Amino acid sequence: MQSMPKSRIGLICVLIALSVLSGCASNPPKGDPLERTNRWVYTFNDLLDRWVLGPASDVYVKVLPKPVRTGVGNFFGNLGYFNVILNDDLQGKWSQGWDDAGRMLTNTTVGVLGIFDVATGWGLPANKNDFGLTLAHWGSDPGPYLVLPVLGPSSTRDAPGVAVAWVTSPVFWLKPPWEVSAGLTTVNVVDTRARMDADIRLRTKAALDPYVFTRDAYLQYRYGRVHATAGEAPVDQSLYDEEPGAARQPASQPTSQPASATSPVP
Amino acid sequence: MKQSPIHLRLTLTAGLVLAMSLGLARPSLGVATPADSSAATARSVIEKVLGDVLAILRDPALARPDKGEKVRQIAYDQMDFQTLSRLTMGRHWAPLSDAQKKDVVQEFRQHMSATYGKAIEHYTDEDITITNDRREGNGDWTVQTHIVSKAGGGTHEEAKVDYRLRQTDNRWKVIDVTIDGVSMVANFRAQFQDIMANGGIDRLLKALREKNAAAPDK
Repeated sequence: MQSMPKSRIGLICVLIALSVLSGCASNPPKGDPLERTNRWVYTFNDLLDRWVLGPASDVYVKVLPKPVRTGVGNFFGNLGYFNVILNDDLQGKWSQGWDDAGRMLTNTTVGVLGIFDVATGWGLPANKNDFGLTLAHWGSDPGPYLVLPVLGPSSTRDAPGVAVAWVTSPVFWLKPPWEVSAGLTTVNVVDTRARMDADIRLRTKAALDPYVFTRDAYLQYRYGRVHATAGEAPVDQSLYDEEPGAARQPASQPTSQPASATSPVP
Repeated sequence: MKQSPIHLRLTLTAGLVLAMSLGLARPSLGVATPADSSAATARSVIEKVLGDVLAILRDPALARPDKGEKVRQIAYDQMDFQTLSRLTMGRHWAPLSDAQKKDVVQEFRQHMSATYGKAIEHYTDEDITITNDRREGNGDWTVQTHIVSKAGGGTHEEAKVDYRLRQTDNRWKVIDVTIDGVSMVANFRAQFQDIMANGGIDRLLKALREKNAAAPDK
């Protein structure tokens, strides 16, 4: 799956193609142009979760005590840290990049391959970053909402990040025997699913339409993440107008309404 | 492999769970102190609410379902479900009959409180700080908070939770909760609109009633 340089080049090509594509998407998605396909994939993911990942996660939680699971999560988090650092740098956030490199170095050594999160206690808390945020940083709109098989909610802008995360993973370069990487991937998926368990249960309870619930939450969340780096994300004040649609301007709004919801992050 | 989508859902809902219930609780004495500074009032409402909910969650004498129930019981009062329903319905609100409006408010309130009262039971180990508060252009007040969970000894799940309050009858009530950038009003508006477009108010009320009729646990 990952052993030939050729495949690596292929991946990178795909990656570049995808990023160019998403870079071209000039309008924020109003609707959900891919809804039909997305709902199919969503249903597939839901079934997969119901019959495979959910039960696997239940067993995993039953068998392994919490501290062990924490260690597993830390390990995979640390493994994904080249991706974080790379994207810090791609966004010109050098100092954050250094911090994150320090965190990874600390946890990989003192924290024994990332199993123990020592760095947080040393003032280097976990950070999140990914290629979708990098593309957004350089002006890309989210593009249409996209549901990926197994991985779930994404967008045409965020999807290439999956490939970037993959090629920046040590598992990708170290080329362990396929059994090892398959095993690691499986544990990672199950562990990740277990961490989402409360969320998934809550969604089941809360959502009237789980597909729309998830889509809206994802798009809002990513919008917030993109703007988090540029200060406060602009709040859509029209949401709170008494009569939506009626042209009612807020009386005075000197500071809290940043320029435009659609303007790219500088 | 475990990038954004996954983290999203994790943070989102962990936060959602907390935030909702926190937003829902009610200060036992916090009724309308007509202070000169409304900032202090909106902020102090949230302060009180957070304190009360944390006290319930941390109370070792209470079993989990009792905590959920307690949070739910005090929930109703602190959230303005009338406004919440109106904002969530958006342009679909005005055309409704009075009876339909009443039904929406009632079902939505029950759905929200049941869901989040139940969901919160599991949390005990959170620290919450109010980080900021500000007046919004239309007179609403936003109180920003930060939640850090120490659960699992070492993992710190963080969430930023914003409460938006509106003053009605001299009393600040919560009209929206935004968790890590995800506004509840916006989220439910998206769902409501989808359902309204595909079956109208009858289908929406049916969906809400089905949710409310479903077993409270699961």
